[in-house]
Amino acid sequence: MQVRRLAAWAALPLAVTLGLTACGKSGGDSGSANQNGVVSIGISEPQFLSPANTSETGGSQVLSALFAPLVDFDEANKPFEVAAQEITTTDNKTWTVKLKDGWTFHNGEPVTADSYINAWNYAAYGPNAAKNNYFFDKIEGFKALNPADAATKPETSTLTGLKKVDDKTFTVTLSAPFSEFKALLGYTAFYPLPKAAWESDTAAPLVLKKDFQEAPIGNGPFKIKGTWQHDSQVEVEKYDAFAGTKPHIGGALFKIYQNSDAEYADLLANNLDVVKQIPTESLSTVQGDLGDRFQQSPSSSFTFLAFPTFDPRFKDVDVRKAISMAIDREEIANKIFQGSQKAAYSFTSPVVAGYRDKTCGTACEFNPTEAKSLYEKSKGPKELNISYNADGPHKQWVEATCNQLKTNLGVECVATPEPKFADLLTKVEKKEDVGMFRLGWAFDYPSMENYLGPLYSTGGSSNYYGYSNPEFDSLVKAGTEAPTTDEAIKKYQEAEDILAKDLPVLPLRFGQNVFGHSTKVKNVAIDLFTRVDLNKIESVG
Amino acid sequence: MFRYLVRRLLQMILVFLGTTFIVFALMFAGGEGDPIQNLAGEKPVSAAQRAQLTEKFHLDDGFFERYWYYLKDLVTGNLGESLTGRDISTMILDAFPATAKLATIAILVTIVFGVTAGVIAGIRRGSIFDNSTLVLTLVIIGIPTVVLAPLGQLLFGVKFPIFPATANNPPTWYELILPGIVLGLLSVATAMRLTRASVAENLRADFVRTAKSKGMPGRRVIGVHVLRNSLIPIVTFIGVELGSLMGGAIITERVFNISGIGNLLYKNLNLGDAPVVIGTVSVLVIVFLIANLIVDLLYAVLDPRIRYE
Repeated sequence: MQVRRLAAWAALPLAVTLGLTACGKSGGDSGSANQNGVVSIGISEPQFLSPANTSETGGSQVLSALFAPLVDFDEANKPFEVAAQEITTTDNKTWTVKLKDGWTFHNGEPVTADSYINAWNYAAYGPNAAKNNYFFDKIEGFKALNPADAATKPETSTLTGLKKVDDKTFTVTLSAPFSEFKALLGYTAFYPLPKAAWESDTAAPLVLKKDFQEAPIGNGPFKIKGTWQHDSQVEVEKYDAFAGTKPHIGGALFKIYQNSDAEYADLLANNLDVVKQIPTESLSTVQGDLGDRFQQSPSSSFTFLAFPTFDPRFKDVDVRKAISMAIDREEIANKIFQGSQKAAYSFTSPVVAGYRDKTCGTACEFNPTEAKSLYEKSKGPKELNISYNADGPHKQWVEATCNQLKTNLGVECVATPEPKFADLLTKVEKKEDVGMFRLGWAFDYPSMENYLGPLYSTGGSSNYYGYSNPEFDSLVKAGTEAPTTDEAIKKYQEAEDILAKDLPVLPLRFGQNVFGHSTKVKNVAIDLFTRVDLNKIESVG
Repeated sequence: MFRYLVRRLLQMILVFLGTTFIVFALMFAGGEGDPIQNLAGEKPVSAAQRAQLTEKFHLDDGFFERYWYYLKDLVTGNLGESLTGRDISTMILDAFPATAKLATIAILVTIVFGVTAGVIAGIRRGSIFDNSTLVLTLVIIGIPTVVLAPLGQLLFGVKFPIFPATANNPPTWYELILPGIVLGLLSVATAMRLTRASVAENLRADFVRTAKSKGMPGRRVIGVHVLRNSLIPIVTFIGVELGSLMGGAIITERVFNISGIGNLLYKNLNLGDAPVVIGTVSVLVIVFLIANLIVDLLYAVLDPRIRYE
């Protein structure tokens, strides 16, 4: 007993000194950059590591190191060429992609037009059931590769819209003009694949090697070191023959975490350099923990409340307006999300070109007295309910929203949980009584169209509530056919103004990246796809 | 003895079939939800894509059909593939060592602290030691893991970094000490009270009085006669405990980022990845049954009067 107590007393000052020296080192972002330094970044276990299947942030973070996209996005969120020399079109329908010379895959193989065509054909081929399959639906010949009935095998295995011109040039023909196609090409799904990825590169349909994703060979600034160690880590090192802009670090270690609290604890213990999403519970103490190493930037995520069009209670636009005005968005964003989300007053996210603040106008401004009189005048329902999926972190804010409606409108309001998101959707599809329900959206490509199209167009892929307005649809369509980006944006903005009048949904909040880093790195930035920008990050000392 | 073993093994097959059937039925009845939607997160899934995935994973086949596929694969030792295309046996084999190490540390903590304290408390009933350990263990047992684990991590992993805050994969023994202690502490109280009661009872037994009156030294009376006879309930408890620890400690593993069975189960339950959940549970059932069998066989070692027919 005596000995143990002695050891404990000896350990305490030791721990304190260690803590002090750690403090002494943290001089902020000063120090010289180490070109060979390796930075560690926390991620979740990727579902897949292949361009055709990767869509979650863990996997796309790793792929962003291994692959270089055709286009990336500048400060104004507009696309610029990376692996492409130029991407041109005259009619928004046929696009010519010219590749830069001298680019190679990590195995030395040159990047050619075929590298892209093969990878895209593989992802678009229905029977491969690729998760990113739908990104190719605008290219001519997509329907033929994806019969609605899984039992029928498609007769061909290549997209008719993809044509090779020469080794470094290919054309993409779309089934309809689409002005945002260049922005679309920035997504993970459009990375090229080397010949080495295929069982045989002349087979039709192409078959991806089963273990390719254990050690993907890409065209990016980093090559994989060893293999993907599941539930543990993926390590990448600088690819010396990379022809693009070289990164400032020697490599990156993607450490896989099972939950974000453990990840954050490791950052505090200085075992990890970057945490991309600090858990909400830790946000109240993060300033003290990290100081100026805690940062925020807008992300593409958008949370809103939807009114199912089949529910007669919400038919009157004044009822929807009154409900909207009775919600104090700022209070919820600050109190429940500790500022990790921002109140939304528009229908598209601030991270896309063409965004304007407060397009929702007075309808989204908190005004309890006006809300109550309008609600009573338009004979709004006495009972409201808001459905949400309980497998996400929604309970608190949905209940808070309900409480605001109770107080400000004098009605009954119940927050109704559904076990999973899929359960909520099933109920909506069956037109069951779900009341209002929560939905979220994060873009696939940075464009206003990627909010307006899927969320509010007739038959849009995420328009579960059934909003339909022909005038709106035609404006969005006019935008996708517009000859220049600026003209397209003008049309989209006109379309957004219609939403402010119709209020098919209530914008609530825009997401924020809340990230932190250790004293061993600087210039940490999160890009539009919630990935740490590996071209900017630097290692210190 | 041999006949007993055969009978137990046959029983185990029945238990195994029964439990896997229940798990399978539960997952089928709604546990898996809509695995295709879960895989896509909150992004929309097109009809064509849904049709392809449904076909690939037999999602539209009937319950008994799918159960039959599963049993057939299982007999050949094939646990199948997860919805993301990974081999399930590999996933379990990757996760198992971490959980086994963690369980070992936890059990050692339970034995060293629980049983030792129990024996002392049993001998010195009513002493300060007895009462204070009782209060202390009650306090610990009153704190749920969701509090104890993050608290331990914050104190000894972050504020005073004596131990690593989280574990890598595969974890080293050193990384697992802190989570192991947290996990072990939870059963220390039970082990201690069991031991105390058992020791106290045996101290009053006839054979102890005889041994004492023979003039046998006190150390030998307690070390050999009392302790050995007190071990049966403790061994039962520890055996069952070990079985359930092998099933993974979901909360502790999540807090300390240990890629063990608990995390594997939690993640795939969330994803609705039925093949992985059912495969893992099947393996766990076997582990649990074997742990129980070993406990039963140990009885005879501890108490020669017990015979297996």
